Amino acid sequence: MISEDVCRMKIDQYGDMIRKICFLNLKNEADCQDVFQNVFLKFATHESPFESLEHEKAWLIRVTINECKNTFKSIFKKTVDIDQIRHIQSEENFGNSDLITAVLSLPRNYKLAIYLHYYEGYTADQIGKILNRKVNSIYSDLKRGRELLKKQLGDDFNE
Amino acid sequence: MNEKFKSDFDQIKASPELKNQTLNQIYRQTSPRRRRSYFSKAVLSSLAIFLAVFLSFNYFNKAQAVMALSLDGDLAVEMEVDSDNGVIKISGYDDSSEELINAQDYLSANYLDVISSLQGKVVNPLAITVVYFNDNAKIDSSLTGVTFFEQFNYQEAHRYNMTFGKYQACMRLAQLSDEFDIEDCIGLSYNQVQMQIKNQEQHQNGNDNPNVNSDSGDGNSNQNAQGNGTNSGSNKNSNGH
Repeated sequence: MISEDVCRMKIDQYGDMIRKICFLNLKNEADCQDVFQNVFLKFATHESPFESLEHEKAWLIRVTINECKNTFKSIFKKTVDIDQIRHIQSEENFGNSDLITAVLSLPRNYKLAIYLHYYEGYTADQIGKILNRKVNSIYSDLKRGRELLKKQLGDDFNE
Repeated sequence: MNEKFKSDFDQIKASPELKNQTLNQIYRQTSPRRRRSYFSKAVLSSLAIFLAVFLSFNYFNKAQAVMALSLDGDLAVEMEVDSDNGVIKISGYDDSSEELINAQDYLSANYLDVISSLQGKVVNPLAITVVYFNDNAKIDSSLTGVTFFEQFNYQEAHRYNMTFGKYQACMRLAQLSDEFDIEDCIGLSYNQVQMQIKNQEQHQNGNDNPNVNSDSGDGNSNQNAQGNGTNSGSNKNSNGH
């Protein structure tokens, strides 16, 4: 059991990252909040110590993605009102970024790979380990994701 | 490109409210007080389940019929009684009986009270027939003139849509006379069946003691025949053979 102070520190440290992954994966604000809280609750009750900070961060990313998948798969969330999607996206203050809009429109695997590579700075090998997928699949996800982003953003997209 | 990603995605942040809510949630769910409450909840749930099982077992045990009574005569009523002498099922087999039992709620009442209540609503004494479903079942000793019925015929009686008391009487009538079988009794009331039984018994007694009957009967019939010719037919019938 991790102490309250450590929890507070970790929420400050990783909260934004968790929020971003939720934002990429989920379609409404309530689900985002649920996943956010569940991830840190799991973190707080995590028994075995982490090997390193990198391990801790990768664990949090893995758990967040799994929680998002579970929420997404839930029988109660099969259908989402289109207004809800607009609502969460308009609530986000990302300054009408074309890039974010384009990334959001990508298939789930592509946008996760793109986010983890370009924003978090992970290599394809590291992303493969975090997502528990083959490195070659990550390479092709990144390639196809980039192609789609190029199509959408045109000259604005510069690798 | 990485810079563009960084600057754009940096705008997506977890709000301080969300962080505080999460901290509160973690605190609520992991504090020792919460764990104690989980423990007491678990104990209480177990107790509730145990009680529910115990009570439902008792309920079903009680709700099982240990005997059934058939009240016949002016009525045609059947009731099933549980181990606490409570009526758990009551049905009428003719319109007036059905009307009578629907007019009052007899379920859960003591069967002796139900019998006396029904008896109070008719003129002639009701014939009581009992069938036991359980070895421990016993009819109250205050009830007299009760006849007993075999359990294996209980369902058979209902196949003919009659009380098992009437079915028993019909069986008796069918035994006494080849002219009657169960189907013939369906249209007769219990009192009519009893009347037929009485007739058949008298008829048989006549057969069993031909000398006695023929002596006195013949004498009577002769006398009647001589005295009043119109009665000869009826005397033939009553003296029979």
